[in-house]
Amino acid sequence: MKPLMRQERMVVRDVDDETLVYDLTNDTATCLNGLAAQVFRRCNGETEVAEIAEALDVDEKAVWLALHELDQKNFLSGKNEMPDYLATRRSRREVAATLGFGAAAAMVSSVLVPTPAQAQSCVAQGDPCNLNNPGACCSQACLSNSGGNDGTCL
Amino acid sequence: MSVLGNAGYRSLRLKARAYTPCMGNLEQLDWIDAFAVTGYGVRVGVRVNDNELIERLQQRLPPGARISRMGTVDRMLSVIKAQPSEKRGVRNFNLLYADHVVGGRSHRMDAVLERYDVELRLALAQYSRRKLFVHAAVVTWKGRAIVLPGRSMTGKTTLAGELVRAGATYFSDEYAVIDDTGRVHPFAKPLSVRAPGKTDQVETAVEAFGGEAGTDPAPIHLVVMSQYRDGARWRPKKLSPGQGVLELMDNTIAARQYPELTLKLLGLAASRATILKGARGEASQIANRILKAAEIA
Repeated sequence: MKPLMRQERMVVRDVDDETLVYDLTNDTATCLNGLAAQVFRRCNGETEVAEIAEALDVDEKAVWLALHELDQKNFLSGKNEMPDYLATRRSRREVAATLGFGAAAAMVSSVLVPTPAQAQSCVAQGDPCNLNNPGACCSQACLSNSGGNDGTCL
Repeated sequence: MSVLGNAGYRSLRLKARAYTPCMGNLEQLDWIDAFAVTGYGVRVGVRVNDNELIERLQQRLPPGARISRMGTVDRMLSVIKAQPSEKRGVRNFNLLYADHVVGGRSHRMDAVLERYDVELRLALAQYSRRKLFVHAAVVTWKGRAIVLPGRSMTGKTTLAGELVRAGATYFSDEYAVIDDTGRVHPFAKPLSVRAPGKTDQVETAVEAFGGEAGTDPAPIHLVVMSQYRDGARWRPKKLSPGQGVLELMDNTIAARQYPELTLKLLGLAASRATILKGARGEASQIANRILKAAEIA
């Protein structure tokens, strides 16, 4: 297999030895750590998995593990056939353990990027609010508690 | 309908891409006067249905903003003073609209004006392409910035206040304003202090904390992600620059609108800074430890 990184609707930026990927299709930002970042940079559609492993001087299974993570995030083009030993979470953990990785999932981490309202200073769901100022809640709705002006943000 | 300010009002236009059919309904109301505010490359229109509001609103400008000429605006804030109801026993609300969305609704005009402040600052943060606004408190220590990102009610203002008491210079308790070189600029509004367990905020001048506000931009040296947890010990974990960008991005107002700019500026800032994350106890107990961390980082 010659993996190819997705070409459209992604913003990619390297920060030191990590790679940050902003996926415009679902507004998530992902940090590719170490090996995943290096594998991702070599997904040019012309390099075999074995060649990537050789270039990085790592076990081929480690590259497959990284590719599996990238494929799960939809960062690779087309349909990519993965080896059977990556079929289940348990088998992936076993592979990661034999390779000396803490956990396969540690290769990538993501956040759902907030909307302006979510990132802005507002009162979270379940937190106290004042009935005279329901707009302070992120939901713009303040539900009355018993008596007075105290309430709880919906 | 008063004719007084209508000419002024008409020369304010909301950008076409933000205009919705609901805005058409708002246009039908009796607007008396209007003005425009510009800051960080963003222009916000403000219109009112009562003349006495104009002066009060013009006195509440955020840091870095000024009254400017009218024209096309990125956001329209419409402030409506409650008029006496024609129905017996019915009391109308004072209202604030941000474009066509209700941003504040209260019988107390003060509460609506507080929401006006928030919406005006949010508009600058959301539409600025010159600076990136991260929801964070900021202080400087020995000329270098300590950024404390976090959502509302995570104790940012409390921690910033304690750092100021410990000798740091105050920059902001709401936004880290980052420029294209990765430096952070002061956004020194009064600190919005909440009493424990309350949501009401009291605007408190930095001088009340025995400190002063900074005036010049500073490089970001330390980023501290911390959330108050009763009894927690401060044992932060050091994050990689990439992980730091994710954490900062989670608090960036315009991250969805300008992802490229966001990754560029946050990447620049994070690659030069030390980034710590952890639960903390009382702010007063860790302020000095944060300043010490800023010195050795």
